[in-house]
Amino acid sequence: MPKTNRQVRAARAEAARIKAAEARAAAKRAERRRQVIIASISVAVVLVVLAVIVVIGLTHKSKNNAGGAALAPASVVTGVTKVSGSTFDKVGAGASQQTVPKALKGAPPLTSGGKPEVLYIGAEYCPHCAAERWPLAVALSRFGSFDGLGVTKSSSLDVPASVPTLTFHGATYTSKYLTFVGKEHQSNKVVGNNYATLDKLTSQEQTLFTKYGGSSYPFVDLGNKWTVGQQFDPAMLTGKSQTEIAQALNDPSTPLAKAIDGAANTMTAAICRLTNNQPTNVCTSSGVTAAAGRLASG
Amino acid sequence: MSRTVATTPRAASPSVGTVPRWLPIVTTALSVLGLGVAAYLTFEHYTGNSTLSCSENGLINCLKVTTSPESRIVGIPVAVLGLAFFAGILPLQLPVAWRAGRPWAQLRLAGLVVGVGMVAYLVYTELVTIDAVCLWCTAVHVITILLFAVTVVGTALVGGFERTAARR
Repeated sequence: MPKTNRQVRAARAEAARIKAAEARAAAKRAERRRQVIIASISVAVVLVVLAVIVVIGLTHKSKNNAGGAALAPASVVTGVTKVSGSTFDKVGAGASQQTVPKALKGAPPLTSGGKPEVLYIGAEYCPHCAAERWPLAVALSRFGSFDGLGVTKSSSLDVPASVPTLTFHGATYTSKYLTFVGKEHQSNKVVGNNYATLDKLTSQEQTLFTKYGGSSYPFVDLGNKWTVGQQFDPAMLTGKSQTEIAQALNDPSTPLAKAIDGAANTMTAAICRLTNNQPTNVCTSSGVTAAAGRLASG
Repeated sequence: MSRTVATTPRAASPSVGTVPRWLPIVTTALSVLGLGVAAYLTFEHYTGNSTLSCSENGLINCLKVTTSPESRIVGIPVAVLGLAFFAGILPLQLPVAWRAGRPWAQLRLAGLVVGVGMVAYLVYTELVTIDAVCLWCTAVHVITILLFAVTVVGTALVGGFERTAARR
């Protein structure tokens, strides 16, 4: 049966509505696609910005030198971290007047990451810390390796003045036997009426520093079994360069080797007790065995 | 084929289109993960980092980062800021929030823009100022970036940007 004019008009109107709806839907899909592309580009831009920041950070050569310290020259690093076994053995316990670690009785073991921890708290301005860093760095280098050791001097306003030394600020230490935390609590730069704060102490470090170190720099806590402060006279170091000191460490006849390597042997003996005499070649060496005789039981 | 959840027809406020089911699930899971890591870092912060589980291997040194002066911003520990961020963003990533109107989508995006900005600042601070990287913090950063990416693309997928575009 033929359609009436009214039916034809209704069919045309319906077709137009469908076409318009399809056009709207297509436009909406296109708009959404455009939004997804814009959103994806935005995310990509953010990722690129973050990647640039990471690249800048990783290629950033200078270490964090808020204390004004420079990185230790290779000759100093080698001299400190590569003292020969024969030198250690010849020096043995070192100079008789040197201070030995004091045993801590009944303190809970200080550990970190499942390993015994050696904690150093000092300040870059402090001349006694300047002396103590040398044997500590020498001893720790027998159990692991440092990265980013710096060189600096103690304050020119203190006595003895301007003692050449290393700094643990900005340095990292890696060892499979122990963990070392080295905090330079204050720098050697005066800000206002005091030396600037450098490395912040955790509440646990602050407690140990107060309880076992009497809040006095330097404080070396060997796994809460022994503590030690300054082991030899910092005046021995004045007037020398870090390179000269580092070279002297490998000559067992020099007073500096006797003082620094001897102190390092004593600390090594204490650390060996924490690491169950590992590594064996270090802990059973004659120099360490001789130094262990001076070590009070902890 | 992905299933979708239809928006409620009764929504009076400007609403978004159909929300793929995977979208709120992924964003909620990422938010919960971020909240967990931020809670761990906050716990460590307030217990002196005594049980912080992280190796100290060259550039990787969590303790150095979490005890640095930069670990606080205007006196507030960064770990706490991270916890607050994920605690705030989590409700906005729930399925009900995705189905809600545009103000919630805008709030969600604004929060994540702030979060990503914070990540950029913290990554720069770790690498340039502190010279150490905290793996737990990196985990939080990665989660935040993933959350940002999924949320931005997801918002576009459900037409969350369309009204703004139509006004132009």
